[in-house]
Amino acid sequence: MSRRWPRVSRNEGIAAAIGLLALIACLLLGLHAPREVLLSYLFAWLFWLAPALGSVGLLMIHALTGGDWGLAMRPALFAASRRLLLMALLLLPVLVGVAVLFPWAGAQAAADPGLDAQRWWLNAPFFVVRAVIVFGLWLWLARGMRRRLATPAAGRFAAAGLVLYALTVSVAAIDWVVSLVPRWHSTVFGILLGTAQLLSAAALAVWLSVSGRDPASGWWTPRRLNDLGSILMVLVLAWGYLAFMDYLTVWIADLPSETVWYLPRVKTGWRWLGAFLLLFHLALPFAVLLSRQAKQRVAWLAGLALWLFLAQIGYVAWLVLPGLREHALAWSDPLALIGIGGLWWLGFGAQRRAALEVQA
Amino acid sequence: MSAPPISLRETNASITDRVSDITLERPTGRLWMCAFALSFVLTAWLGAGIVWLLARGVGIWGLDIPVAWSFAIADYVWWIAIGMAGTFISGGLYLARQGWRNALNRYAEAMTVFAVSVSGIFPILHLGRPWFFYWLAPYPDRMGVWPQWRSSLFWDFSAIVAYLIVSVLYFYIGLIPDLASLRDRARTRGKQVFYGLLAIGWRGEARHWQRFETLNLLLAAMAVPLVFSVHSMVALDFSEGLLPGWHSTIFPPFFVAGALFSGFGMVLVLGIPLRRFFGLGDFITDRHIANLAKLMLAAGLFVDYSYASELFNAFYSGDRYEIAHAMQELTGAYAWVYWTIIGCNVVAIQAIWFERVRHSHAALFVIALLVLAGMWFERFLLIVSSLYHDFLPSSWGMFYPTFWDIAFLAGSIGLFFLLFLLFVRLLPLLPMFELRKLRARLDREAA
Repeated sequence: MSRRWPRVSRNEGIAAAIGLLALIACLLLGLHAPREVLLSYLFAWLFWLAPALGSVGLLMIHALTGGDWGLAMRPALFAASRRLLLMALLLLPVLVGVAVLFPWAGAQAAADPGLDAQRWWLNAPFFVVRAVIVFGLWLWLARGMRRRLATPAAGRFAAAGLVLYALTVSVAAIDWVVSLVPRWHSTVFGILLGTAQLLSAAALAVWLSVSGRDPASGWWTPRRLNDLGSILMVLVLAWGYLAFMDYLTVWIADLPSETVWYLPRVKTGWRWLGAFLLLFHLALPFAVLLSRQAKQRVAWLAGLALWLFLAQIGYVAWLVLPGLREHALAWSDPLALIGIGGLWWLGFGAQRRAALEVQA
Repeated sequence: MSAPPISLRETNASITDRVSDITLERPTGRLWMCAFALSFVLTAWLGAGIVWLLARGVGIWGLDIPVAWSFAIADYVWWIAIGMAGTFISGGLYLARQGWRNALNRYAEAMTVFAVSVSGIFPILHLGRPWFFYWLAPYPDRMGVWPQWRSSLFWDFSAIVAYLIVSVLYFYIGLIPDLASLRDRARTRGKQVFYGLLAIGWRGEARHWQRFETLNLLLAAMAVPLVFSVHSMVALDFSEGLLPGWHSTIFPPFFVAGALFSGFGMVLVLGIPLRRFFGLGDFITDRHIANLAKLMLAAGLFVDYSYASELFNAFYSGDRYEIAHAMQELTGAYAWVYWTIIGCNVVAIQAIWFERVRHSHAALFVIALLVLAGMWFERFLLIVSSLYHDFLPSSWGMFYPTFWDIAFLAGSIGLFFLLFLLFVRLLPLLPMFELRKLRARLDREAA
C-alpha cells in the first residue's frame, strides 16, 4: 500500500468543498456568538470522532474474538480509523476556545470557590496536555493495529491496547462532555460514551459494507448478514443498558450533583429528544434486529445500520447541547455537522478500496 | 489454527462410554467420600446456625447500628455472583456459537443452580422474620399489602426468582438427552428407574431433537439477559442507599463484571480438579482452561477499571463525603481489606497475561482461589466501609464478626460443595450429546 495521500474522488472533493464553506460560515457566526458556535462545533466534532475512534476499538475487539463479522467490516473500519489524524487537527478550535466553551475555564469560574476542589483536574493547561496525550495514544493504537492485523501479534497488542483504549476514552469523555457541567460526575460515563462510539463505528461500517456498492457483495451469505445484525444488536443493547442504568441510578437517589445533568434534559423540551432516542434508537432497532428475516436482507440491514448511525446525531446532541445556551438549537449545529462531515470523507473511498485489495 | 476443543482420539462411542461410566460404573472413591464428609459437617454447622437464628433472631450475627448489613449480605452477593458465569458459558457462548464451550457447560450450569440456591438462603434469613418472606411477592391478600414497586429490593427479589427458575429449567432441559443415555445404559433396576423418570420419555426422535434445539435456544436467549438483570438489581439495592461508596452509576455493569469474574474463578476451581481426578483431559483440554483464564482476566480488568473510575470520580467530584470515603478505604480501619482486594483482584490476575501461567493449571488454580477470596472481601468492604463511617461522626462504629457469621459463610461453602459432589456422582459431568455433535463437526470440517 502506498504511503502517499490517497486519491480523492470527485464526490469527496465536492463534499470537502461544501464542508469547508460550512466551516467558514460557522466561523462567521462564531464572531457574533462564539460560545454557541463552539458548542455546536464540539457536538459535531464528537459525532464524527465516534466512527473514527470506535473503528479502532472494533478492530482491536475483533483481533481478540475473531469471527466473520470483523472481516466483513474491516475495510470500512480500516478507512474510518484513518480519520483520527484529521479529528486531532479539528480539535484545535476546541483547545483554543477552552476558556469560552467550558464553564470551569472562564473568567467567572476563576472566582468561584465551589470549583476549587476540582481545579486539580479542570484547568486549561492540564486539559490541553491530556488532549495531546490521548490523541497521541489513539494514533499510535490505530497505526499499531492496522500494521499488525492478521499477524500473530495482533491479539496481544489488541488486549493491551483495549486497556489503554478504555482508559483514554474515559479521560476524553470526562474532559469533553462531563466537564461541560462542573460538579456533575458519573462513574459509568466513560464506558457509556465508548459504547456509543463503538455503535456508531459499527453502524457506519455495516452500512458501507452491506450496501450494494460493495464489490464484495457476492460474498454475503444469510449467516454473515445475520452476524452483522447481531453485532449491531449487542451494541444497541449495551448502549441502552448503560444509558438506562445511569438514569435509573440517578432517579432512584435524586441527588443534586447528579440531577444537575438530567434536569435540563428531562424538564425541558429536550425530553422529546429523549423519547425519540428511547423509541427510535433503542426500541425500533431492537425490534427489527430481533427478526432473523430482517437481519438477513441486505436492504433492511443496510437501512437499519444507516439509521443507527444517523440516530447517533441525536444522542450526541443529547449529551452535549441541553442547558448550555439560550436556544435549544442553532444554525451552527447543522453547519458544523456538514462542515466536519464534508472533510471526514476526504480520501475515504480510496483507502477503503486499498484495504479491500489487501484483504483479497 | 488452535488446538481442537476435544481430543481427536475420542469417538462417539468413547465419549459416551467414558462420561457415562463415571456416573454408572465407577466406584465411589475415597477422596470423594472424604470431601463429602467434610462438606456434610460444614452443612450441618450451617443447619445448626439456621436453627439458632430462627430461635434467637439476626442478632446472633455481628450486626448492629451502624453496620446493619455485613457478612450475610456479602455472602449472598458473593454466591449469586458465582452463578453468573455458568449461565454466561452455557447461554452466552452458545448464542455466540463458541463450540469449545461444550465440555464446560454442564458442570458450570450445575454450579449456577447450586450457587443461586445457596445465595437465596441469606436474604431470606436476613429478613428477621423469614417465615414471612412470601410477603415480598406481589399477590392480592386480605391485608391489602403490596410491595413497594419503586424499591429495587422488590425487583431484586423478582430478578432472583426469575433467574432461579430459568437456570433450573435450562440445566434440566439440557440434561434430558444424556439422562436418556444413562437410562439405556444402566444395568441395575434402581438406576434404570431413577434415570428413566428423569428422562421423561426421551427417545431421541428427530421431532424430539428439533423441539429440544428450539427450546434450548429460547432458554439461552432468556437466561443471558437475566445475568444482567439480576446483578444490576443487586447493584441498585446499594445505589438506593445513597451512602458514599454505595451509590455510583457504574455499579450495574461493575457488578455484572464482578459476578462473571468470580464465576469464572469458580469454574476454574471446580474444573481443574475434576479434570484431574476423573481424567477428563481429552474433553476439558488445555485450551479450555486457558480460555477460561482469559475470560477471567477480561472480566477482572473491567472490575479493575471500575475501581479506578470510582476512585478517580471521588476526587474529581470534589465532594467532601466522596473524598472522605475514598480516603477511608485507602487508609481507614478496613484498609487491610482494601489492599487485600487490590492484591487479589488487580495484581494477581496480571500473571494471566503470560502464556506460561495460562498453561500452568496449578498457577491458575491458585489465582482463581485468590480471585474468589478477593471478590468476597470486595463485597464485605463495599458493605461495611460505607456503613461504619457515614455522614455523621457521632454515628460511626466498627463491625466485628461473631462465631455465627463465620458459621454461615463456612456452612454455605459446605452446602455448595455437598450439592456439587452429589451432582458429580449422580449426573453426567459433561454433556455427552453436545460433545458428540462437536466431534462430528470437527470431522465435517476436516473432510
